[in-house]
Amino acid sequence: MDTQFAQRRRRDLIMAACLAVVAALVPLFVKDVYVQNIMVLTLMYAALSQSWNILSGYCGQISLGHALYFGLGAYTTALLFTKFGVLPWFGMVAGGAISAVIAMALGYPCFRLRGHYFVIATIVIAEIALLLIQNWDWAGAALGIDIPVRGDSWLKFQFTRSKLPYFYFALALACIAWLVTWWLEDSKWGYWWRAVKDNPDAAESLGVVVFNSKMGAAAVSAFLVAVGGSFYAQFVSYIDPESVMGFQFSLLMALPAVLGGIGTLWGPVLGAVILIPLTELTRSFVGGSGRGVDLIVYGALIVAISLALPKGLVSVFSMLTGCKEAAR
Amino acid sequence: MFGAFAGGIIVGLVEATTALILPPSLKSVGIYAVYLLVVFIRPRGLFGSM
Repeated sequence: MDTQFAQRRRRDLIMAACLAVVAALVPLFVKDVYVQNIMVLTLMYAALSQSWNILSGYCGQISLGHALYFGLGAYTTALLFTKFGVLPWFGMVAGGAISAVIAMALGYPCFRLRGHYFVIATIVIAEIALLLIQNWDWAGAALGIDIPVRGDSWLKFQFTRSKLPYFYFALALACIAWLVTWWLEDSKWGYWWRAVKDNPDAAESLGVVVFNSKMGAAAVSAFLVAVGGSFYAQFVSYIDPESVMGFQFSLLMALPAVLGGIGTLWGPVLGAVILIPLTELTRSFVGGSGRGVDLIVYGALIVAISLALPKGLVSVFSMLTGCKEAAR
Repeated sequence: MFGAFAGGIIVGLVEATTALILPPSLKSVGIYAVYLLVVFIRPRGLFGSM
């Protein structure tokens, strides 16, 4: 059993390395800027969803307020850069650190709540933060922040002529999020989280400090999501509260993981690779307003998949290969 | 059953009163804050069994 698990982990790692190399080679053949844009977004959502999966998938604390950390990352980077001239690289780390601290501060009261009460609390907190930022004049209020273009450079992490640097950074981000999940899966924390998810009372009675393990998951998850938010701010170079902290971002982080398989290593990646190109395509083909139709596709897809495959798309692979242990 | 009734009245009253005190764009904050406050003190809701 143990050796089988170790074997699977090694296989996962090799597969991820191969996929990363293939993904890195794709832009050599695909020159279309629009397609490259979709690839950047896909990789970013894969990273975000993977990070969301740490708290909500492995630890079982379903959060629909992760847009808060996404927005915090984006706003920290943008504000530090426009107001104080701090390089986005430091902004990224600062945003991540701030988000992790805030996640723990919010987790302190929130992790007492269970089930729906917890989910609603996460939504409500993110909404409060959104409303506060919308009314915060120094941070641009509802108008948002325009990040000034200071020429292409890795130092300032701005590229106006090519999307390739963003692509490789998003790829690196997705790889990091995947590796962190892969590493945590077999660590002490990973086992604690799964125990907390399955049955918090039983876990507590066996000596798992439930509260601390939830806090750990929240901090890691928030940090990675905030780095993704910082990246997004640099990528679009204009942010406003609704476009980085809106509820749809919380959903867009949750859906790939739910679609692919919640609490699995490959679920978020698989979900993002299917969902994000699909929404972009529906958005470009069906109507110009595009705010509603792509969400209808989302809804239909999620309903269909959750009815047909309650464990997500990854369960198809474990069915195909016939190995039961893959669908943990 | 009584919980939903009381909750509905509280939400309505709080929303209307917040709009008096805070700028109208922030009026939902009052309800959200009351939700959080109630749930932090009584994790199963106002009338939920503990």
